[in-house]
Amino acid sequence: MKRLGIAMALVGGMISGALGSVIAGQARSNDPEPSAKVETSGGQGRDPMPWVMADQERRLRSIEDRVAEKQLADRAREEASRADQGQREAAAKRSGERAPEDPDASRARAYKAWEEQLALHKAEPEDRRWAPSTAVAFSADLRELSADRFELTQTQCRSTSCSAQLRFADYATALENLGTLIHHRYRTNCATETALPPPAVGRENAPYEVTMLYDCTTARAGL
Amino acid sequence: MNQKMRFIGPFLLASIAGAILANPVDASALWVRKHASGCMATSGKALDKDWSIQNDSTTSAMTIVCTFDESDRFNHGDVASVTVNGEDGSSGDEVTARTCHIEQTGTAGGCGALVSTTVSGTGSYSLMPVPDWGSSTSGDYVYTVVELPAKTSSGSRSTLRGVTITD
Repeated sequence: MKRLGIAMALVGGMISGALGSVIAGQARSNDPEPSAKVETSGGQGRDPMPWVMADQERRLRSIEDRVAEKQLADRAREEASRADQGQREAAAKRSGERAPEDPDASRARAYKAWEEQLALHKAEPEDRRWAPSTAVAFSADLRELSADRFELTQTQCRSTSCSAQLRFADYATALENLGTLIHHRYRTNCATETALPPPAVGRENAPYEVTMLYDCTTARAGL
Repeated sequence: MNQKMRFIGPFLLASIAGAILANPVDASALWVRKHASGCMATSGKALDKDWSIQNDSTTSAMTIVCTFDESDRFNHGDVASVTVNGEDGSSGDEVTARTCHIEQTGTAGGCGALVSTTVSGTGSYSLMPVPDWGSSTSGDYVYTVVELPAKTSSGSRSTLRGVTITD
């Protein structure tokens, strides 16, 4: 569309320039802008037949005006089309980003994020001034919370995060306790996170291990 | 004529660009405000009184869950602040609030750190738990959990008035 507009402008300019050249009887090939040739046509070189010139100049101006109107209209259409296209693309992008995630995608994304958080925790160095005492505090919290629902097998802290391994009788029991584990008010004020991917088929009634992750960045910063 | 065009062209382009820029689709600030009566008490003894939800239990704290009803216009990835309002009626315990998320199938979730009133303080509170919501929780249901202390021996109750969420 833009190329067409430019081409039309060039063609219109060339026609105008050619007409102007014939009428004025002057070569204006040194002017880089074709339409500029038309603009100067009236001011240079007097024709011996002024009544013919006046008529031809009127016609030329009429052509120029129509070409200019066409160029304006083309440009406006082109801009409007571009703006409309941009808005459509932006709307499509927004709706794509904000479309509700389906359960399968949601689960996959949650497990992936969980694995990444766990990897970050494991990669943290241990702060010996903070980690042991905080691990003891989490152990105490989880033992109080267990009430025979799970067995606490391990608690460890690094520099800003802690993790705890809990063993449940089966997957269903672990799922029942997910809310309690993440909402509990622990002695150390940390963010909680866990994921309970379903066990392999046939392992639904087997003991199920849960890893609780505690992000204590805020607590460590004293906030 | 062409000289005029040199000015009309840029003017036209600038007008169109200005019109587009002045008409953004998503520029306005978004917020939602939810009264406590739209939240759910999962423990304690809920009492709807004086335009607030109060804990009428003398023995247990009350946990209240307030959901954030998301839409395509305003979802939890856009949330910048969560503000919880009410009255802390206990001089021996605190009101706490935190944001949480649960994956759609209920097999993963977590909560942000707690924010709380001071233990000894009483009166109006305005707690702002940091939303633990973002791209990693994009498909989750999100909610705010508020815990109100038990009613004091003098009969003073802690309350939740509501939650305001802004982008």
